[in-house]
Amino acid sequence: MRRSGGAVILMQQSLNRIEMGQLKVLAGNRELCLDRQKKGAKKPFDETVLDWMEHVSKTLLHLPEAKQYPDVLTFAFFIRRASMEEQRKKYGVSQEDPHQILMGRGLVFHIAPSNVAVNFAYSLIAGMAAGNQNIVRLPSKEFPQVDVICRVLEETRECYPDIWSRFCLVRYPSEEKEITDALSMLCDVRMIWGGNETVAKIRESGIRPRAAEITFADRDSICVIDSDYYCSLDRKDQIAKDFYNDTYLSDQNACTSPRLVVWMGSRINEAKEEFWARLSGLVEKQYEMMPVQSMDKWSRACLLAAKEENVTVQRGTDNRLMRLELSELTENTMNYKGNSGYFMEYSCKDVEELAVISDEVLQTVSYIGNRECFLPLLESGISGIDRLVPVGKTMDFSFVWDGYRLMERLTRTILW
Amino acid sequence: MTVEEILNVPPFSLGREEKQNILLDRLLELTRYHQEHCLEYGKIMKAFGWDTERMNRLEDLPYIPVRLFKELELKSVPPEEIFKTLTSSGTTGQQVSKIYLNRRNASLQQKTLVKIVTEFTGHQRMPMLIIDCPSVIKNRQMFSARGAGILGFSIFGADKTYALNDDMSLNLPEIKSFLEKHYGEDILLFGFTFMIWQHFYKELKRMKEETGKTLDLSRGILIHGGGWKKLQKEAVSQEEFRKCLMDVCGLPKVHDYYGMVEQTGCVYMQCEYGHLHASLFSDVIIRNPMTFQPCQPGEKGLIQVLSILPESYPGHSILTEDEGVLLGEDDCPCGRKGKYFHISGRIKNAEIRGCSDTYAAKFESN
Repeated sequence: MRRSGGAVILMQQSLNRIEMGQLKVLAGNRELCLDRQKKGAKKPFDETVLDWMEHVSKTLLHLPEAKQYPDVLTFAFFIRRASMEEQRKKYGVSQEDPHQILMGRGLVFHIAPSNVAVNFAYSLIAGMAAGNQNIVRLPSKEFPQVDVICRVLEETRECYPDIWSRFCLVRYPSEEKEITDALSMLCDVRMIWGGNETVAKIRESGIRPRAAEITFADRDSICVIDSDYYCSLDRKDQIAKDFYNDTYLSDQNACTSPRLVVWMGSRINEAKEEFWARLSGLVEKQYEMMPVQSMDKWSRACLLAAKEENVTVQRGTDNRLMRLELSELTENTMNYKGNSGYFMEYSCKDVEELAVISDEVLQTVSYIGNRECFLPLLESGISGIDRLVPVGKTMDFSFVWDGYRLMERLTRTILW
Repeated sequence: MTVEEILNVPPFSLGREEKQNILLDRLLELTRYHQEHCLEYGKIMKAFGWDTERMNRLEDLPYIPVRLFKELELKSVPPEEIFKTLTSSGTTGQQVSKIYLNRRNASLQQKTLVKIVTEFTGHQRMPMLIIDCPSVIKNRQMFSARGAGILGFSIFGADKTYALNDDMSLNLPEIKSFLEKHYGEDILLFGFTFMIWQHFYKELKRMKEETGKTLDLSRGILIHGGGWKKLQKEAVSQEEFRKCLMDVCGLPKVHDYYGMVEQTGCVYMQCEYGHLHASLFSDVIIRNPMTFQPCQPGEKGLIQVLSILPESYPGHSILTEDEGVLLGEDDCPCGRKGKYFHISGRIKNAEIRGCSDTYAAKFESN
């Protein structure tokens, strides 16, 4: 098939720009950015690729400076062979028919989110595991974690030259639309993380007719707590830690961080008191907040109180923990979300009440209680909720994410 | 006491106890009024559990964040009574505060400004040199807090003359003829801090270096406001600002002021000792950013401002996004009673706000 003239010109531009130094390669094979590669695909979960991941994992786990970044360590654990096997079993694509062959789609162009340090690496791993070559645009904001991981990946050039040649991690100013244009025209799948604005902006650059796109839009998350279940638990301190990690650890800014806590059951008042008191204890010890965050929460609380009916504001010992009790859930509720320890709260009689807020924006529901009770809601036809996970697990990445089975989206099936 | 009665008391004459009693009565009255007449304000008080029955000190009064005036249209009078809407300056794309005034409120603001400022300038109207360009009050697009500030302070001056051309260059012929005309008289100068530094001081300095010539403003008194943000970046301190102006034009009296569109009229003027003073008509409470508990003198925190004036909108007690330090109360060596304090600046990451800061922001991006 002949390429359109436009694409050729764009690629030429990309070449020039790279020579001009606008596009900086931090690790991997820069050739990937220059022209379409032939025979780029492998089968998913290729043995050499898994060996390479195991090698990267071990290197990271033994690196003294990686130890100060829990997110880097979590990533290192995720790419161990055992963990990959589990991902393959649980979230891969099952191939029962011997007359179907699964192959990577070719080249994946990843746009990593600018505000989360390690996300780019998970995105790369998904692309690699599925059998693709990968160009990853790194976050524009500089994180030390990015540098650590990039260095280790670059060092694999020695022992895994073949795998090393299958990825390229780049950084360039997001205003440089020509570069986005050129890289988009090269890829078979474009994977855009983070934010409706970014998605809209990247979509101004076209992709080839057969190319596919995976977009991760703005999402919100909530936590549902069964008060009877919670009151009967012994490990309440652990629950507080788990919830803290889901929220405060990322300033409650991650798309998986609960913004709303929904209470159910018959011991709500008792459970609330226990839950928030324990969390407050942790927050006092561990969480630091800037004056601007404090002001922001106070402003949001006033705005919510002024606009909605019968809101009650509760504070912990100080502004680091703010709770907003709502008397009803409406389709506007999630618009009032806040961060840095700002929790809307609602007492609910029936889990089906959540349908009101379960539009496509709702991503993760973390829970304390019995997950079976959510089944009718999940199967009711609502357009939201892609994950139901126990408290403390909201940040755990898997190859099914945001409702997409990534191994399916990043591969193609050959019938023979 | 009624507002009118309070306004008849000299603004820096009462000590802590008397002032607190007068303010608390008036501010509780305003709180109850707004609770009943401004739906949103009433709902906020209810949500936070604020109960006027339990408010025994100024520190107990409710405070709403300044940002609410950008997000909501807060008023406590029927729409047909609104006579003027003040807006804060904001760079393009920023939301601006909207402050709804009825006639009475606007006139109270004017009266209060006069009471406070004449304590520093005297009652005589002086010839006035405005360190800005004429178009700032003509051009409706530019007309914001900067224009409003100039108009507000213009009541203290006569023969108002603009020191800058519309391209912000120094209008030397105009300044010279103004100074000749008023030779031997006291002169009032007014402008925004950054504008004065950038377009007035720097030009005069250049002139002095190149030609050895200076202006004689030894009978001048300068009132300036709008914030130090931009000058802090250039590492210009208040002392240096004063000293530099003294060097290039012999200006002996310089008074900074702190004020905001949300509480127009109740400005905080800087005394001869460099301290900003709260008058009897307003007060400041410094709050710890984490707890919002009142800070001790000397401790930095968020500035809450109180004003006895706001009747048509619920702006009598506002938590600003500025940080400051309370220096003392009733014992400033200048002799003025009431609290005196220092502003440290806007909290980090908050939007740039305030009068001439819009211009500073524009300047920065150029």
